[in-house]
Amino acid sequence: MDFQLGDKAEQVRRDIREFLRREFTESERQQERVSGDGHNWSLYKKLAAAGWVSAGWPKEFGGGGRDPYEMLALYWELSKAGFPWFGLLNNGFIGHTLMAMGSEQQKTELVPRIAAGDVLIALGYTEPGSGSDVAAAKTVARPEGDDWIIDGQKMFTTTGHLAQYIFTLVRTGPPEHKHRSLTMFLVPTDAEGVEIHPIHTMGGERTNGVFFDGVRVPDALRVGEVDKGWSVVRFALGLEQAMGYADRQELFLEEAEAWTAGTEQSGEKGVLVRQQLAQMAINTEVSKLLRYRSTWEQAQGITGTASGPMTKAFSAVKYLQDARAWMDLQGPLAALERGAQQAPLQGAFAETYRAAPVTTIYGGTVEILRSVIAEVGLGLPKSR
Amino acid sequence: MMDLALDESQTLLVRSFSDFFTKECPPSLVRETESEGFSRELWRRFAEMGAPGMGLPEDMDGLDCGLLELCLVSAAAGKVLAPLPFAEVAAAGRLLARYSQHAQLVRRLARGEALLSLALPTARVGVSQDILVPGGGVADAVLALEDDILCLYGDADLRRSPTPPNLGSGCPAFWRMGSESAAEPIILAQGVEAKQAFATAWAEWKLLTAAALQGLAQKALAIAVEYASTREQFGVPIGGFQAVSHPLADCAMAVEGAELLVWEAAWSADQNPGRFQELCAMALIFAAQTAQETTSTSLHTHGGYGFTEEYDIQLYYRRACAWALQGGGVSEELLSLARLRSNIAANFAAGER
Ligand SMILES: Cc1cc2nc3c(=O)[nH]c(=O)nc-3n(C[C@H](O)[C@H](O)[C@H](O)COP(=O)(O)OP(=O)(O)OC[C@H]3O[C@@H](n4cnc5c(N)ncnc54)[C@H](O)[C@@H]3O)c2cc1C
Repeated sequence: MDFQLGDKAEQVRRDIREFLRREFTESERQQERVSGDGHNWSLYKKLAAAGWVSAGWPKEFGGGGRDPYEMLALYWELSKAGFPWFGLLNNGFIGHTLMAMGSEQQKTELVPRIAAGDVLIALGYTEPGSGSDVAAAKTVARPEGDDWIIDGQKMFTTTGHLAQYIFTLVRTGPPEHKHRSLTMFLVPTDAEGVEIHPIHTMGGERTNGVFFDGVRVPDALRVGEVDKGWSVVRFALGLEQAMGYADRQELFLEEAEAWTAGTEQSGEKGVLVRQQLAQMAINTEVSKLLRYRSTWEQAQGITGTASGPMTKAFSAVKYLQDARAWMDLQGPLAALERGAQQAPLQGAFAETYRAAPVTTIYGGTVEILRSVIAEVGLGLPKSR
Repeated sequence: MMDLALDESQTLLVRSFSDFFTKECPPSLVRETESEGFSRELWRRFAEMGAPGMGLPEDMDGLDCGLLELCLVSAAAGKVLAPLPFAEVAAAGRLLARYSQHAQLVRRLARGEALLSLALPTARVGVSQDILVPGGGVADAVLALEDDILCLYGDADLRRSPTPPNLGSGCPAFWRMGSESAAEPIILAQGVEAKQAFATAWAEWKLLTAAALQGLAQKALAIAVEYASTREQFGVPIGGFQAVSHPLADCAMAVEGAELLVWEAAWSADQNPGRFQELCAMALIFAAQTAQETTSTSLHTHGGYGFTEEYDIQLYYRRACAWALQGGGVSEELLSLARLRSNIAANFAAGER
């Protein structure tokens, strides 16, 4: 038994912290606060130049061949630092998916361009009428010569306004075939008929609504076989769900500890504060361990367990609980935000309160994850 | 490099103790021993497996196993609600084994001929001399920290109360500390050394109790899943209703998280000693919360039947609470964990300077 990530991962942690100290300046932070883009091209190019964008990809694809523990350390530090990393994450999921399921041309032409930091791809699963029920997508693609014509609408396409492609799940057969009539395409955002509109969120992130009106896409941009899009989504979503939010919980714990130390909580209130601090430390530890286990299973090639969904659901629920608990413990000042001089830790608590709810929603809501855990982990009947 | 699997001998250990408990400790035995909270016959067989001496040094007839191995046995015992004070004997025995002048008693512990427990300061009755000792109703002697003096209290018959009726049908009893009621205790150590030794034993007891609670929770979940898969209402198994399955999914995450936390704490004893006490406290709190939530959810999954004595789940529900309370309970433990963490932070800051 060993609970350490290992020397290589610890080295990655040091390297990326050094990178962040050097490159992720206050002005870059401010830019992200204002835009909520979740992606910053100039920082991203620097990450790519240092090899971090393709760090986890196999060497034969020009990747860094880093193991899952090194990747955990990389993601942990970026997330904890509040780095605008959605582009990096999505490209990571999609890169892996293309390497596993893409065409030869995609592997040899597109993958290296992603690795070089030249291409950004956004995730286009969700639609106005299909969120949890991803497979109910209504956006359609119909063949025309060697091309496909795409019509429909995507929703919550984060980083779509900065991306060259949208990894778009579309219907290519009868809707009643549901999972068996879906196909995945890379739709170029500069193609005629693509329109992207901003959607602003309470947590500060900007996301998008995307409209496709007779968009012509060459067949070469299809990922996987026709009508086999569901297996592509499942693969990519699986990568996303195994991560969770322990890194952000750890940051929040450190903030809460700093606040407690700085305000000398005593008396009856002090008791409540200390109990909450301890509970939060436990929640963070368990979230970390569940993530370690998902990562370890990934490294061992163990599949078919509910570890991924457990990692995401447990940490999201606890993060949200703790965010609420701290607001209450701190009283009126906690509601003050950045800019107010008396705001505790420059409004960090209100910021977390704003940011936490979405962790229980995107990448699969906790209800969907609980159903997966009940079915895959406990063997209970399907309930969706 | 990370490795979260049990090795071959640990896997074997789990298998042999699961087999042992399945055979030797059926629910009928748990019910028969509800009033005493202890089965001497089961303890004898348990001793034949070498279990009481597993964590004791080889030169005192022990097997010199690590804490992880002890946790695996404790979890297996927790799964079947074995009426055995394993965590107490194991943790107290390891503390006593530090003092070679008592090798005689340690050898008897290893053979299962004597039982020992710890008097936890958090289980003191008000300001009195009485401490409710887990397993105290069957212990032949008890270790206690009085100020900074580590004492061995014998004279069991003079010092201890009968086992009071209790929710978890365990075998706790009040032990009267101090020298008034019986002969002077034997002093084992004094000062910082005594405090540290006791703190380690207390942490080990927390860890082993956490393992037992985790095992209890795991089994309670399995019982609920089995019931939800077979009980039908409205023409379908109730496990197909999300109002039934989702709470069980939440329990499943917690049960697996608690197991990882117990393992991490056990691993840290040698590999990350600076966090050992903290992780043991975390493990106990989280396992206690998990066991209480899981048994409550599982009982509820049974509808009215879960409330009847005939169904096993009520046995789990009661013990999940009672076992967790022995050392003070979750609120108390949270405060002690917070103290521990702020001391660690303060020491760390002092070291930095
Ligand atoms: C900030 C943000 C960024 C996002 N980024 C992306 C992105 O980049 N790409 C992308 O494709 N999507 C993205 N999403 C979309 C996200 O994945 C969906 O919002 C999510 O999957 C839920 O879908 P929905 O919003 O349609 O809610 P619905 O599916 O309508 O769900 C509403 C509620 O009903 C519950 N529910 C639904 N079905 C069931 C069921 N069977 N059993 C029990 N409960 C059920 C849900 O849990 C939820 O609480 C993003 C969302 C947000 C908010």
